[in-house]
Amino acid sequence: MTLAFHIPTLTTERLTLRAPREADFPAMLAFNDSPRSAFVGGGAPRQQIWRGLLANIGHWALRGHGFYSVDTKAGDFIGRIGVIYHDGWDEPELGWHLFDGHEGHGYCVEAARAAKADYHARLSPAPLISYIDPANPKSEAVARRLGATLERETVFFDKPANVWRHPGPEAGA
Amino acid sequence: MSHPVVRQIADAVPVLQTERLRLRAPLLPDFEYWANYFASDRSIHEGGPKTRRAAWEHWACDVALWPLRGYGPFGVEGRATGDYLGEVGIYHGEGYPAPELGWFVIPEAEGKGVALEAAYAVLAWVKASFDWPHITNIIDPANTRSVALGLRLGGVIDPTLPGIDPGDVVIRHDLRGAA
Repeated sequence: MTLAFHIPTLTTERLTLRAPREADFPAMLAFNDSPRSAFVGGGAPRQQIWRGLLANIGHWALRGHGFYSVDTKAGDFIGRIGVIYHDGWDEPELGWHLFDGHEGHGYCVEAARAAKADYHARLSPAPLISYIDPANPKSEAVARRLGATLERETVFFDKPANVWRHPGPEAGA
Repeated sequence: MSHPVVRQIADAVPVLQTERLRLRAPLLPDFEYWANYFASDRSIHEGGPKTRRAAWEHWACDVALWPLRGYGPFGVEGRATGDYLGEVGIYHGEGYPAPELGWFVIPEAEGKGVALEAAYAVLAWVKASFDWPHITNIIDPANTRSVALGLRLGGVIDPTLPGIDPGDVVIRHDLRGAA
């Protein structure tokens, strides 16, 4: 028995943003164990990754939005992108991470645009933030390409972070 | 505030009514009670105390069971007042050998038979909804009140069934045969 619980599927030119599922776990674990995850809490224990997968699904149920799992048209699961607002966050955040081997194609910007538009259309027009590690220039470049600007410095769960502010839906980004 | 998308999960989870209680989908405001619980020594039998962040993660994972597996925790309200009283339902955390019947009552609602009344309703729902031979409570042996509740519900201690931590008391509720 499964519930009629609907997470939208978003399609872009090259990507599909879909509901997270249990089968996403191995790829999430591999990402966590790779150096690429250093800026998003990488190297966590396996159990933490499992909880991250489940907590995101709970987040969807409670908030009506969350991280989408992103697939290529070929069906490769390449990362997680969406709007998250867990307890302890100042505001809803547009977040992204791509797994190894999938950067450099503009996938992050393409998927983040779709997730952002979906959030504004279904939930709220309020402009979103992104928390970005000040030592993560690749993620800053994604934020800039999305039209975001640096708003302030903060401390996010005991670590320095920059808050980037995205344009609202009227900007059509 | 309840966004239409959130109402979807609320509508997808069944509502169970008892004489005094209404069991419904977990809702975001319920979390404050869990944050308080995990901040206190009352959570010592559930791996607490925990930080607010860890409490959020714990609770959000429990809520995730509904979309993932079709069972999960019910928020329990008083029918007359609509006040939140606690949570009773089916839990299945990592390391659990099987789905578990569990309960949580806020301090103000203790001693009134809330968990017992809600757990009866959940047992009846499980029996009607799943073809499971039995369901268990897995309880820290120091949590004598919960053990007593499991037995009052009609369960029997079954030392042959696995728990989560060594020494756990496992109480079995048979779901087949005569009601």
